[in-house]
Amino acid sequence: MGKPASDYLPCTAGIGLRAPHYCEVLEKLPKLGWVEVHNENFFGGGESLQPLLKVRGHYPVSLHGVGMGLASTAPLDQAHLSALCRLCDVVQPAAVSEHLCWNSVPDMTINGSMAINDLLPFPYTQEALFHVARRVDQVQEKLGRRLLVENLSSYLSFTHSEMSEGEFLSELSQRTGCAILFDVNNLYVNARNLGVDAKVFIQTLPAKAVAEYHLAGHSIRDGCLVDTHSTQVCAEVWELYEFALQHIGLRPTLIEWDSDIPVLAILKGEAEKAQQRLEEYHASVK
Amino acid sequence: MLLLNDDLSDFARAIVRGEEPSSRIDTSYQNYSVAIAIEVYRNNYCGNLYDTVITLGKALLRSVTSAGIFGVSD
Repeated sequence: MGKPASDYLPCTAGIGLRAPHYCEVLEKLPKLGWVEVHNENFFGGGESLQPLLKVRGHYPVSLHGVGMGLASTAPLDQAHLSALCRLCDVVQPAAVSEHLCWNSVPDMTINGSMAINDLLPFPYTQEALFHVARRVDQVQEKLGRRLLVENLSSYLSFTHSEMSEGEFLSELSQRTGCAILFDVNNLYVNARNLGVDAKVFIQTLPAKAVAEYHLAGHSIRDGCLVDTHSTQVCAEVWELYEFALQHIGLRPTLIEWDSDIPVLAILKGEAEKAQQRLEEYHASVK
Repeated sequence: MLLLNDDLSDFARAIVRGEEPSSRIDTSYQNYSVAIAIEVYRNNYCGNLYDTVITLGKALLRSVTSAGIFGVSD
């Protein structure tokens, strides 16, 4: 890797960079504030890492994880964490983030853990808060840097939650010093699916702790909004994003698109819509 | 063991078996069934292939080692 691009995320719009766009991005070097990739796709190192290292020479990179399982009750996967550390050493990312979710439980029948490849919800209890905070502490200590923790899109909630997700994230941030990655589409999905009050959620988050926004599209199955990252950002999510800009402020903003991935121009067009809103908000508060 | 573990284990079994969890699921707002939500989780796209491959690989390795083919057991 040559001289890397800056090691902080600019307050501009970026895109989730996926394999179909590696070549075009490296060839054309389009104007993008920054890019985000999924950690796990690069844990193998070797040739698969080369496009990312080339991209890193031109854009700030954020590493976004989907496999840590911060709320899992199976032990923290030290091999996973070590792989992330190695990737951070090589890539020198501007940010490292994970989801507020679980993906594995102890499995006594095979004397190990049972892993489910998904981002799963859990009850927001004091016990869970203590558990997740301890694991976030462990991750941050191992990484030697602040972790961004993302709110979850969910299709079920629990009757015995003792607080909202927003309150949980706020308390988690206060206890551990972690930052919050606020995914606006996830919040909208939860508002529609579970009746979460989106504006109250936004007002609950400690603005200083929010370090990044995510925007994405969703799909609908049998009345359930599913966070598929397969479409453009909908009008309601843009409205919530504008509300968030007013209440939280300008933050680096990412467009995620993970299935039915369009041509780069469309993805970039979505990022330009976010950039326009960032600039309008910036101009309005000058 | 954490009380949380009871909820997560129940949820995990539900997803693996395609059954409704016995955990205390709040259905007061949602306008779809718990069964549909579980089906979404069973089919959901997670955003990367890596963990699927690793999970399958680990499961395969466990079954091979427990069968004693490599002369070790876990």
